[in-house]
Amino acid sequence: MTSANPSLRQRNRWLLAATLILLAGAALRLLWLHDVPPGLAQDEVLNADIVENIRQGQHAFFFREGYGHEPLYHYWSVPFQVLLGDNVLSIRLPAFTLGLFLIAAAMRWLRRDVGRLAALVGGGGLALSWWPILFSRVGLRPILEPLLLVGVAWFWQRRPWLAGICLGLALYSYTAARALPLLPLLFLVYLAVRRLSFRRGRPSPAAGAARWQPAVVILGVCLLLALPLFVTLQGDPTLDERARQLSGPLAALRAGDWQPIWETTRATLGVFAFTGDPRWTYALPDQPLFDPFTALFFFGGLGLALRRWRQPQYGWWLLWLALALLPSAVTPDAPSLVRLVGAMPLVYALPALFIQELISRSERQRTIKPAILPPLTTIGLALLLLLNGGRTWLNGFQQWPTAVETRQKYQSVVYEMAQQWHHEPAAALVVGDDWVDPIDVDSLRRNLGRDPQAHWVQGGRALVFPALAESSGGRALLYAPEYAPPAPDLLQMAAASPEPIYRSAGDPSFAVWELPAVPAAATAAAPVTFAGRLTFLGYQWLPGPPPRLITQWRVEQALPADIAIFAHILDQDGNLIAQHDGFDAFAPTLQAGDVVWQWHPLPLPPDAPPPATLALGLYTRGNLARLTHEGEPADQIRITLAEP
Amino acid sequence: MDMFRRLPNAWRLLPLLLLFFFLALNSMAGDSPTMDEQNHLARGLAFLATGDPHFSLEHPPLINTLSALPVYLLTDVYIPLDDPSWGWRDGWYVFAERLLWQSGNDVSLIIFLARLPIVFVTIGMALVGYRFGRALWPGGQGAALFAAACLLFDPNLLAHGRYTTTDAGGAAFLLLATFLLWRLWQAEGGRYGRHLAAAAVGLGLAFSSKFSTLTFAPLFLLLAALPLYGQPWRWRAAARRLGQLAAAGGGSLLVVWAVYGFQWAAFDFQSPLLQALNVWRGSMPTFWAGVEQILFLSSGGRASYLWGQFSDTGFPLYFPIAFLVKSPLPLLLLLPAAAFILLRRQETRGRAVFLLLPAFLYFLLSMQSALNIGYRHLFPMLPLLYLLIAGLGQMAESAWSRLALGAAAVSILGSALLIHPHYLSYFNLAAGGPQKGGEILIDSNIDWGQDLIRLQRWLAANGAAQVKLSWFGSADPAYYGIAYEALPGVPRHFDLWWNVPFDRAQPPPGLYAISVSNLGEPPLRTAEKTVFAWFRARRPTARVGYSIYIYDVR
Repeated sequence: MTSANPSLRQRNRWLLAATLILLAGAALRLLWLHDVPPGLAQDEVLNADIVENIRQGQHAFFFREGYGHEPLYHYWSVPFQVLLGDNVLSIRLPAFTLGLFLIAAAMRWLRRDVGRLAALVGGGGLALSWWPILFSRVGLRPILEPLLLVGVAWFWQRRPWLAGICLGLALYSYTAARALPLLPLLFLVYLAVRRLSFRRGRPSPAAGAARWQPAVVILGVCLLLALPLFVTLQGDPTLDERARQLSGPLAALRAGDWQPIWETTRATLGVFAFTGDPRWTYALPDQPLFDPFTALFFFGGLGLALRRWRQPQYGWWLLWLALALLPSAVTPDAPSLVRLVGAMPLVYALPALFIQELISRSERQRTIKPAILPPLTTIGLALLLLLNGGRTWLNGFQQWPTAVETRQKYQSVVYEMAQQWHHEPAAALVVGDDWVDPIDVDSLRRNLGRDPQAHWVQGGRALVFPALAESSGGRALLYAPEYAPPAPDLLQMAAASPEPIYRSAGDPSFAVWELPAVPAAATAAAPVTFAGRLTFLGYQWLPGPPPRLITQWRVEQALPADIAIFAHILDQDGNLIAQHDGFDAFAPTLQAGDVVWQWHPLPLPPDAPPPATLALGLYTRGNLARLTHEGEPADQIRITLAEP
Repeated sequence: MDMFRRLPNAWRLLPLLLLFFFLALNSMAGDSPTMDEQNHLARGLAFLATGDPHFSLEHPPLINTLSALPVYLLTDVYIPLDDPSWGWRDGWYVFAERLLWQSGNDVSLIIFLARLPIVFVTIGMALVGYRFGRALWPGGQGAALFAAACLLFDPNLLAHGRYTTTDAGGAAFLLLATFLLWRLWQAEGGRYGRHLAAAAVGLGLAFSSKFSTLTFAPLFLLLAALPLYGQPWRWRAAARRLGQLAAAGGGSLLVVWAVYGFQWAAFDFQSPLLQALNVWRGSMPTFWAGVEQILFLSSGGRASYLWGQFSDTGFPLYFPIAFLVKSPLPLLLLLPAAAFILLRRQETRGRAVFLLLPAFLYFLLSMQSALNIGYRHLFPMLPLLYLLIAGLGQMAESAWSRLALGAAAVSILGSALLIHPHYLSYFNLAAGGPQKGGEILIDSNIDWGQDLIRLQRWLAANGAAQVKLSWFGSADPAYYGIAYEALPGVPRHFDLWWNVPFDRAQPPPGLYAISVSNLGEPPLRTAEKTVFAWFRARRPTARVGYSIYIYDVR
């Protein structure tokens, strides 16, 4: 559509540019969603658990899970899980939608409050920079906070009650928002200071009028809305574990030690050009938010806002920035990209303000020929955005996800196991891990979007030979990461090839072994069933050195999660000379018919008498109660060991 | 209400679009993959992954590719290109089976994502209908809105406007092409280059979305020749329009070729007549082979069912009856009135003929087809009919016509809400509703395998651990956790039709779930249809959706 009307043409061009920015933002947030970040972080898996709980009717103003979670983001995620299922997409798309809304809302806000050009620059910054992109790609709740704060900025002068609602809701979005109710309060102080400053000198005509009533309304509505959260946290202080974990610098300050908070504040203030988040969780460590060139525009914008501090809009901006920096400035590991998230819209608004001002001045003062100013502006902006986009691409999409530290944070091995699993999904699956955590089990399930019915074992300590269903084609495969390989003793005894049939290329990598059908026990014993749950089938004594024992068990029915085997080596006189307790197959993932081989390391003291008897039994760790069988003694089996 | 009136006309569409979006998403999440969806998705994914369109023999790749795009881009779907079936000429059945049910993929997710683009294409169809309605009936308040509402909420369009198939997409792009041709032929003087290019793109998109849209090529020729565009007939004007159509048609082939990924390879014809051409290489051989194949299929036909009768050669009255029993009543009631009134008036006659003639001729052509498997094959004409009825809205002086349109729109919306979420099984009230539908028509008219998830929920809610299942659908019941004893089905357990695993005279006690389509025993000849005779003679104990009957045999 063309139009002879210049303003309409201008508007259409702006709309086109804004649409392109949104599309670029959407593409950078959506594409390769499974690969960047390269797997699911434990927090993402945990968030999906909370959403699952909400769907089952467990509602709360504050969730205890994950050391305490504000609920709003999780409620936003519910329809995604309902429609898409419980998988990576439904975990990450809620953040994507919020990230996209953030760009659109920030552009609309900046267009109204600063100008069209500033809206495009700010929107472009949000669309192409790694910080906002990352928080729109991971299924974590912080991205909701900046969106609500743009809502506050949009409404604060015209509809203060709506601004109050946004601010109140921000408290339900992320812990770092807790400093923000101070914003309207400090704004009242600011108004008083501003009034005093006017008394000393003549007010600038640009300073504009400012009323105190909206700030009061915002504060009132926000506090009212925050009341249930406040009551909840007061009622059960143990809910808010995370806030306590991060209170180190503040505690030191209270004890009179300024050093920690000085360090964190200095690091936080440098985040724009000099310092960076020291952790690998969200970006390459120690990378400032801006490259040196863009940082100049940021500081230019900050200077401009400081110079115009008497204008209420900039007064509001400065207070907002200060309060949004606060959570990072008073907590450890500063600067923290996640705790700074409330500043995100402003961080990109300030360079936009400076650029808008530069161009407006050029227009007014005609320092650049009017004919070449628009193309020059377009080229300049395109280069600036390209610079940021290029930095994002190299640091965020190329280096960060492939770094071993990032891969460990996001459990890339689990993700890559899920990819490999598709090659033979029918085979029964055994997964090894260095320390089986239920969250890893959930992570594999969510990476696949379905439950592969995997049997999990502590790598190197146990093997499971699954009860093979007809659909498995008689095959069972063991997937184990390089840091938790199967014990050679177990593979050897099972007559399985020590060489895997597949090894992945990643770092850390994983390998796949084919498990043979359940081999017979080396030293078969008369089966003894403990409490109808687990049957002892046999054992293999490997005298060493060092001496090891492998015991073999069959699962008869669901096992308690904290079940443990005790293996005691006794001497001729019945004295205990070595022992091992453990059950390194993850009991909740076992099914009736599965056979478990448990490896027991039994280091004997050098001066120990020769082993004579093996005492084996089962107990639950929670109450230390032993499981019994029908023989005598009822709580254990005694086996005489052959002399080496 | 005042606020609604003050809204710009196009904004009034927004609540309708949102309501459609909600109904579509809410219902499709509960529908298991229907019979053809897995093949369409497999084609699209394979094409996206390899750029090789050789699976697009029965359907051009546009809609399939659109469907597969979110799955390909957003998920970690495993595409079994290592399966031998990928190398076969018509290996998509095996390939799709492996892709969905044997590769461990998250079927619920990928089917949901694959359906989303179709939902947007259906919304696009309503928007084109709205724009076309405004162009056709500029004086009529709400005519365009009526057309858009009908295209969104006609239960049949809504049903297929959420599935990963080509029916709704084909209708949408055909409507777009028709609209762009209308605009081209309305353009004044010599300034029609832009419209010509747009028409070429529109035609190209239509031809790339479904082969049956090619049927409209001769119909467009007829429309170009007729004096329907405000001026009396002059051969020069008719020749100009025909020339424009030829140019647009030529341009459309470029678009089709682009959609086929600019495929350039040896021709691959199967019929003796054309096989001689296989020594040559040329552009998009899969498209030409597809045209050849679809002609064979249409002439050969498949088992069709109409009111208790089966035929391998189709029924001449299949589509007329399907139209009468499946179309919403407002369409049936207002269509003759609109045709009569708008054809009678000289000022509306041209536009009425432009809409009615291709719809009518397409309907006649459909009646000749032996492929009688669903009302959905009439979709290409439905938008034209709704646009024709919308013309009643132009008669601003006539309060009753506006009232009739309003009532019709509300009635269609009401039908959609009442049948939600079982759109596929819609039959109008005059036909007895969906409860009676299975007696008249089967297959994609009522039972296309959409109710497997609902069956699983029903079994869980009723504490049934196992069921004897006769399943009409490509989805794997085991995937949904249904423990079942197989009875004869389509396409799974097909062999059991001739090796029936129960006593058909006195079925043993148990819970039986039988797809409505299977009750008619489609694979068997009339004399052999005794497998489910015992069940046909009895009322079901319960019903899952409208497509699965439950019999609790004690």
